[in-house]
Amino acid sequence: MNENWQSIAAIAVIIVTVALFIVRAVKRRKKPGCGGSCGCGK
Amino acid sequence: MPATLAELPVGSSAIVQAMPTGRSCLTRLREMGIVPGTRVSVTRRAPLGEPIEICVRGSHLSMRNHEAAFIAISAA
Amino acid sequence: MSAAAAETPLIAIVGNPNSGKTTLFNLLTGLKQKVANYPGVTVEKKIGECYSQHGKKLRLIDLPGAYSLNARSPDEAVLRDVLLGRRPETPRPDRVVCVVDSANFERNLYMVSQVLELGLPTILVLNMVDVAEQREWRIDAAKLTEILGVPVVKTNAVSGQGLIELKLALSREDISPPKWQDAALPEGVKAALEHSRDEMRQAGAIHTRSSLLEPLYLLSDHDPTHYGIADTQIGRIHELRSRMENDFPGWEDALVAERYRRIEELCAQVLKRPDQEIETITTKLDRILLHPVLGFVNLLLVLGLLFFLIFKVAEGPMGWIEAGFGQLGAWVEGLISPGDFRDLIVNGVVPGVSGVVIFLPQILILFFFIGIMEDTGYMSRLAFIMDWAMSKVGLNGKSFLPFLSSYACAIPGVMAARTIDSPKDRLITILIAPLASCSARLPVYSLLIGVLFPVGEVGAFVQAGIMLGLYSLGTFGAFFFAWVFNKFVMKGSASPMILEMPSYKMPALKSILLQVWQRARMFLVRAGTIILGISILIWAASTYPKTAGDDSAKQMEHSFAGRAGKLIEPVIAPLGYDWKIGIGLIGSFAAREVFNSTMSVVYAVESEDDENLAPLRDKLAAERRPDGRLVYTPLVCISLLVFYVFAMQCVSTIAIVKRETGSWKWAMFQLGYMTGTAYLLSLLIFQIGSALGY
Repeated sequence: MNENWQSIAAIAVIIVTVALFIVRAVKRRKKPGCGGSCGCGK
Repeated sequence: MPATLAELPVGSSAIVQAMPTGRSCLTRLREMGIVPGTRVSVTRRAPLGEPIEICVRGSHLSMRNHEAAFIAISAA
Repeated sequence: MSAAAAETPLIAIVGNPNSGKTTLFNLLTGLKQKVANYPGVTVEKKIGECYSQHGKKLRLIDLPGAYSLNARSPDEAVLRDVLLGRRPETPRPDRVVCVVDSANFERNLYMVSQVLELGLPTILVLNMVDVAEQREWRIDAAKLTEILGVPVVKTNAVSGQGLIELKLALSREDISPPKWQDAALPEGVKAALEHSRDEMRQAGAIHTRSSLLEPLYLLSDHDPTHYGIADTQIGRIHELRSRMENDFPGWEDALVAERYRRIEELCAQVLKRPDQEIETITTKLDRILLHPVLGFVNLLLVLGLLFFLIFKVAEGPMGWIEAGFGQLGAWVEGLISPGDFRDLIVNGVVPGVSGVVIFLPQILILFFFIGIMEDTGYMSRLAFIMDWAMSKVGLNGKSFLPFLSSYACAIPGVMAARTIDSPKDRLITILIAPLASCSARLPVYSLLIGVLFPVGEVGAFVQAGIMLGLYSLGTFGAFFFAWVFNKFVMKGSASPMILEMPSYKMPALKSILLQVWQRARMFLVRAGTIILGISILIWAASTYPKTAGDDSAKQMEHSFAGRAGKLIEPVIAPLGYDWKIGIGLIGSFAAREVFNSTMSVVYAVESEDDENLAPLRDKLAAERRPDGRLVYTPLVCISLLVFYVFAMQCVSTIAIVKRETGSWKWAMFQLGYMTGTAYLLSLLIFQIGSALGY
């Protein structure tokens, strides 16, 4: 049971990591040349 | 009398006579104070002949012979 | 942006490079500053907060140093664009603090006059008054205020002298626009500029309210990055520029001369200086530090000190960091029972992050050292001495230090290339920097040299000789590629090397430490995010899919990493490598020294500590192929060593190059050319060697 818990946790961490990398890549592509908090949309 | 700044011996000074216009690399030198009529002096040369250090308007700059050769000078 | 922030006045700090502008900014804002990049360019954007002498909150922005608003580099373009209010993410400053190096007063006035023409309320700061006093230059501040119509404050940013007066001036709300307002334009040029402005306004390229300065800088700048101007307009601007050049040949140069004529008039009224230059500390020091022989001796001493600091002194803290992470791993090991999650932390995250953070002491020392050299003025002398040698491969003297730093680690080397103002030289320096054999290659070199010449067989001298050869090979490769890129890849115009030789001064330690801290924080944030993520993924690649047994070597073979090793085997077989080496190569892409630990896993070598290479070395030396031949023949070892000299195998460097060049293009180009060269050379060595019967 204990080992089972660890396997699930490890896989969850990996999935979250992959997801974060993908989110980062997509976010960058969406707004070229414009950082997060700048007011270029106004 | 040497014809260009590149030939001016260390320790001597001269007046800038003319510089070709319209060259962007020379525009920056102009903006650093080297314009026709300005007094320049050569402070030293690097051990291997280049670059040279000059004094213009009390400021010290260095440049290579390639640029200095564009700057025509006359006796101070 | 909150409403409160919008009400706080934004004050821009501008000035020539070496005017002590950033020191003043750091003195005023302290830790209350934010460092980011301007979008689209790799120019640091520094905004901070401070309070005026009357307790009013102010926002300060430290703009890049420049010699002119006629931009010649991305840094200068940012300055111009912010002052003209052309950058959408940065509001146009409400007021300007113009910092002047008093000891170079006349030259500094050039940009001052351009800034004054913008018509913004301006405070003139005469900084480095102590250096000017050494030269016996006396500036009449009252007269200057009278003529220019702006408050003038004398300061010494290193000692803090004049800071209160500056804060008092910052409190003033009644600063009237400067008197020096008209650009001295000849009638014909003025008319032509007016015409161009009308045309650009109609096309919507510029503001309807813009002054003549806007078309002036648009038409006279040779920097292609005009922020906020649509690409479609750039073609038209080029046409207008050539028409101006046609109608008024040399108009830009005439404007410069006219500006200096007016500056001379001004100097005659406010500046008193001796006819002959008097002996100062700077002239005395330069006689030694730039002496043909003593200059070189001193240079070697300085570099020797640098290497001693980053290799010897940094060793202690690096050991502590390593031990600290080791303890962390052990602590986790005791806390959680055996399982995947514990394995992920102990064998993935902890060693992965520790392998990068371990370079922190070297990075701190390096940036502190660079900070001292820049602040004292020695950096320009270093560039002066090294320029001749660097010019032979098409670089300039300023490329020397970033390249040298890369022998410790390419990451700070690439970051240090920011000090090079020519964009082309900077890019080439970044591209070649990772060819310097960094300290992460050292463990791999040691291991393979050990396999090549087992102890006892040949003396330590031969081993040291090979090590030296590998370092030389990388250095030679770097110079060769610099020459190639300069000659064939980036033809473009060679930018002139114009180097200012500032007066020597005491370093402002607080300001330098602040900058070191900013770099360190950036590095740690990266280690905590991207490097952490990559470590997790690499662990996953060598763990899944799982085998039933407990045999770690079997597990490695079965995993994604093992399969990838087998997948690339046909590609690396001509170099003499088998799939096990393939796994090591793949692992090295996280960091080169990972090769050693990966190989330990692959060959199931139990080693108590990483420092002791002997068990792994003996295992490698004895390893045989299925047909009974040795895997690590001398030829394979040499092929592998050469591969490590040239290949780009460092994710962190790739990421930092992407950041510093602003695009993936150059990062990928670098990955391609370096790894391609490595492959080609190793292929040649192995194939020719095999054909010769080695």
